[in-house]
Amino acid sequence: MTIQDIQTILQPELVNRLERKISYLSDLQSAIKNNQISQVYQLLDPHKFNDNLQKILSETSVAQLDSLVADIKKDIAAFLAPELINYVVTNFDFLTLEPVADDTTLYDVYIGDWWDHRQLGTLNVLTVVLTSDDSITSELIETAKLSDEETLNATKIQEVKKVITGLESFLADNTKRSLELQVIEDQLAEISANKSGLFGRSDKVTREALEKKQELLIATQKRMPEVEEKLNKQQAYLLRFEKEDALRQLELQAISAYYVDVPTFITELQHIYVSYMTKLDQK
Amino acid sequence: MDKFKTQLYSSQLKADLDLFNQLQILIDALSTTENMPESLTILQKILAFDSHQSKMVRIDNDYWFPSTHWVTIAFAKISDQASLSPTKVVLPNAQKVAELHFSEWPNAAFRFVQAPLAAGGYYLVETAQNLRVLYWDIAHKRFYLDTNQFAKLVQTQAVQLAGLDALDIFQKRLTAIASQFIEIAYDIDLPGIDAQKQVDLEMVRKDLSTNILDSLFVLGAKQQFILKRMTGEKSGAIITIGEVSLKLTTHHINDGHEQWTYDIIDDNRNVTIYTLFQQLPFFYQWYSDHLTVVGLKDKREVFVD
Repeated sequence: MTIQDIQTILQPELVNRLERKISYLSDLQSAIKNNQISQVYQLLDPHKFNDNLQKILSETSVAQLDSLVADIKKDIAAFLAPELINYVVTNFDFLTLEPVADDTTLYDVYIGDWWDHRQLGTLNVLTVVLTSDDSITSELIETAKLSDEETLNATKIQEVKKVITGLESFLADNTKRSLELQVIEDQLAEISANKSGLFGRSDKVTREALEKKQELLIATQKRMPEVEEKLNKQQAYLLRFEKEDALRQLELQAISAYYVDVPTFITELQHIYVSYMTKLDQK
Repeated sequence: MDKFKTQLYSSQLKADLDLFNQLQILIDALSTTENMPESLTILQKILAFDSHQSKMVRIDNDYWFPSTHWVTIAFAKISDQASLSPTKVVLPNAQKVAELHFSEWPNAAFRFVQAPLAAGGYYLVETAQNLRVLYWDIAHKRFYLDTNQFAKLVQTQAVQLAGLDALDIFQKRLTAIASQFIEIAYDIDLPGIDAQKQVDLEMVRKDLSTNILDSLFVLGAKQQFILKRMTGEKSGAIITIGEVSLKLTTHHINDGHEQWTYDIIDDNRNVTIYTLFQQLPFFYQWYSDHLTVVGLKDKREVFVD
C-alpha cells in the first residue's frame, strides 16, 4: 500500500473527527454568544445532562469534550458563575457563597452570613455539583432530633462549667489563704520572740503545727499560675462548645425556615443540577 | 505675763470676721449668679478659702461644710441650667455633704467626693452602689466620664427602673454641661454619651482576639441577636437591633496594629452605647467580661480606686 493509499483510508475518519470537534466548539461558541446557559451545560457534559433530564444519549465521550475546552474552562466558569450563583442565593437564601481564590470554577458555600459561619461545602460551577461536608449535615440531623433545651454539647458544657466553678473558687480563696498565711507568720514570729522558753514543749508543738500549715498554704499558693492556666483552657473549651452549639442552632433555624427537615434540604442540594437545568429550560 | 492689748484683739477679730464676711459674700454670689463662668470663678474662690487664716474665729458645727458641699451646690446650678429636668440639692439628716438628685432618676442620689489625686478634682459618685460617674477638675478645667462605672451604673435597678427616657435625659444633661464647659476652654472627655457622636468610639486595647468576638457571637445568639461579619469597605462585625446597628469596626493604624471602635448607627440619633448596655444585657455582660480589652477608651489615669 502506498502512502497515498494509507492517507486515503484514514482521511475520511480524521476529517469526520475534526468536523465533530469544529461543530462542537462552534455549538459552544454559539451557546455562549446567545446566552444559552442550559445549552452550554449540555455541551460541557452531555451524559450528565441527558441522564438527569432524560434526554437522548449522546455518544460523545465527556473526556474528549473536556480536552477540547481544557484551557478555557476557567473562562467558561467565569461566564457561567453569575447566573448559577444568582440561582443558588435566590433559592437557598440562607446560603452565602464566596469564590475560591485563583479558581473560578469553585465557590465555597457557607450556611448563613453570621460570624464565623461554617462551610457547608464547595460548589463546582462547571458541573453544578455541591460537595457537602457530611460531618456538618449529620450534626444538623442529630441536632434536629433534640428537644429545644438540648444541644449536642450540653453534657460537655455542663462538665466544663463544673470544672470552671471549682477552679474559680480555688482562685477566689487566695485572699483568704494570704490572710491565713499572714496570721501564721505573725504567730510564728511571736513564738520566736518568746525564746526564753516560758512555754517550753507546747511552744515547739505549736510551732511545728503552724509550720506545717504554712508549708501547705505556700504549696497551695504556688499552684495559682497552674490553676489560672487551667481555668483559661477550660474557658476556651466552654467557648468552643457553646460556639459549636450556637452555630448548629442557627444553621438549623435557617434550614427549618425553608425545609421540613434537614434530609429534605440535603436532597435539594444534591439535586441542584436538575433543578437548575429545569429552571434554565423554563426561561 | 503679757499685757492684754484690747486694740490688737479687736483688730484680729475684725480681720477674722472680714475673712468670714468674704466667704459669706462668695456664698451669696454663688446662690444668686445665673452665669456659669461666674459661678465657677466664685466656686474656685470658695474652694481656695482657708479658714485657718482666721486666727481667732473658728466655725466648727453642723453648719460648716467641706469643699465638696460647695462643689455640689455649683454643679447643681450648672446641671439645672443644662436640662429641663430639675436638679435638686438635698441635705440628708445629720450629714455634712449635700446630695444631688436628678429628677430623671428619682431613686438615685449622687454626691461629690474628693479625688485622691495630686492635681485635685472631684468625683461625682452615685451613693447607693458607690459608682463613679465623672471627674471634675475645676482648677485645671477638666471634665471626664468614667465609662467603666457609668456603664455599670446604667445596669443598676434605680437607673433601669427609670427607663430609657431618663437615661437619655441624663446623657443630654451631661452633654449640655460639656458644651458650656467647652466654651470656657475645658478639656472634655465623655465617650459615648452624646447620641450625635456614636462613631469611632475607641476600645481600650488594639487587636481584638477572635475569642472575644466568638464570645460576643455566643452570648448574642442565645438572645437571638446575631453577630455578623461586616461586608463592604470596612471590616469587623455587626449586630442589628431593630433599626439600630452596632458595629465593631477595625481600623488599620500605622504601627501595624488594628484599632477597634464601636459605631452605633441609628438614623434617629437617639441611641448611645449606654442605651445598648441598658437594653441588651448580653452586650453589657460581654463588655464587662472583657472590659480591659473592649472597654471604651477614657481618661483612665484620673480614675483611681
